[in-house]
Amino acid sequence: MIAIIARAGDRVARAVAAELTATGAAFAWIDPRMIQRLTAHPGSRALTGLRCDGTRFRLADVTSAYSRAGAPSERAQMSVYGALATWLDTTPARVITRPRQAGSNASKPYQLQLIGRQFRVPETLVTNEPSLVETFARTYRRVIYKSMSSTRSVVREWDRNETARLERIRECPVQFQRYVPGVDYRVHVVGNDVFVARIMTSATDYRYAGRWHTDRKISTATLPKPVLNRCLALARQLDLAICGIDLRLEADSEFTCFEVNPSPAFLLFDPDGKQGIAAAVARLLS
Amino acid sequence: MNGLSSARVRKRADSLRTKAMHVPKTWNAFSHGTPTSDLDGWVILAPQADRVAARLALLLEKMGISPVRRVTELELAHARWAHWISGLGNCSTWVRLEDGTVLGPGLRGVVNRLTTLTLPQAVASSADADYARHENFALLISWLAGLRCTVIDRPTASSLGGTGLSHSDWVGRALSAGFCVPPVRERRRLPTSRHLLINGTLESASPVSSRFRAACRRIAVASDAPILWITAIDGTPPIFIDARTPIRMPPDVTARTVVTLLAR
Repeated sequence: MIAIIARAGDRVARAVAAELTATGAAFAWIDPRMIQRLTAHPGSRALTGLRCDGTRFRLADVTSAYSRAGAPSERAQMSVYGALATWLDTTPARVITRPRQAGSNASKPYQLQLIGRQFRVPETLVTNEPSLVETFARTYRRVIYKSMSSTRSVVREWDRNETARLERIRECPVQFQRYVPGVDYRVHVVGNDVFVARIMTSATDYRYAGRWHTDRKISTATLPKPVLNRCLALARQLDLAICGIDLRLEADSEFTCFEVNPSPAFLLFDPDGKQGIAAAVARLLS
Repeated sequence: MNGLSSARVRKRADSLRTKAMHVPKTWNAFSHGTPTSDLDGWVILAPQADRVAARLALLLEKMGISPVRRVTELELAHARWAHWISGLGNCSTWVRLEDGTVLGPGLRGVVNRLTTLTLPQAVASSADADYARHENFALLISWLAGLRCTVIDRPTASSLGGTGLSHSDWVGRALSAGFCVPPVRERRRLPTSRHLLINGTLESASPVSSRFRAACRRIAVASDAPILWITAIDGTPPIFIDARTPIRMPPDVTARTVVTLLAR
């Protein structure tokens, strides 16, 4: 049995489910918020089954799972999510993606250290010392700042005139990076398949181009074979069967990598499924 | 311990001293002209009231691993941080504590025993407290991951110290690693022994079967814990009772781990 573990409204998981349906593959949808009961082995207490939305599932029957469970939104759900995470980490079934494999995304600067083995990364300073930021900005002229945890934040360019605001970093270290000019590419690795999309925009953070009233055009693209191979190598290095890799092509023809998303929401780059990302995930599960 | 003299341990500890990739030109600005002293030794990151940390510091110093400086989560919360990552992904970090001590290129090793992060009062009571906690956690992960010296118990995505796994979590991992897990009521009667696993190598006094060795390695990989103190029985099949990461190990076992790592 194939299990899709995601909230009912998860559009990415729905796209994968549609591909599974199209190929006639049977699957069960498990919404972690709808789990009513967990069954554990009486001696070992290891998870063996669950009841979700009135249906009972034997976890030994699961041969592959696509997990987009995310984090619980309520404290009461924490134990269910925790038990599910343990099962996902330890089951012999094929799991896309095991929680422990997604760990590097919890710290962006840590992930940059890993990415640096395959790609150039933006020069980065994490500090709570304003004078260091000023020196960093003098060195690189244009500097952006963004969150360093998995908490989503909008990437913004730092305005040197905001010196008074800079004092606030004394309360909490902030991540600053060299602004990397160039063209954005998003590479999705699914098993051995690689899908490339090019994003043309003048926004600092293309995800929020609409918020800044700037244009954003996403199109299918190709990249040189050595770059694709480095993307595959990076996915393997991070032990990820699927991932979304954010690259920017600079004027010197070198690619800079910003981060690797272990649970990519690929519909933005493949809204009508023409690239075939959802179909590739479905193939991997089948 | 492990047949190593104090002098040899000290020599090895010296040779593992972290090398600074570059001293940023901004360093002078960072120190603000105040007197600082670059710590040339070991650090134990631990809460103020951690008695095991105090005992461990004494044991390490007795073994010739010195100086050992205990750093509390409160000191880290009020420290000035400078964490650089180069375009190649290399990182260098300077942490200036309030007393002027700098944790930087002179660090020879770190034992992490932190389980919680403290935020400065102004941040802890603000609406951004959760965000700040995640950000500080991410910084701590990156700092300890980027150190080239020995680090015992690096934080993982799910836990600051150790793996954060409950006994049920360990059991799940033990079963998939090839162990058999007896019911709780039967465990006390079993003739168990303890095994220290360090980076995939079992440091057992007596020989163990290859099956047992492989099961121990698998549980370490599945739990993302390179150092484990496993209570088990080398039988057919191997029987799992308990596993502890360094944060739950007695100080003498942690000290033994440090010495073993330095000897390798």
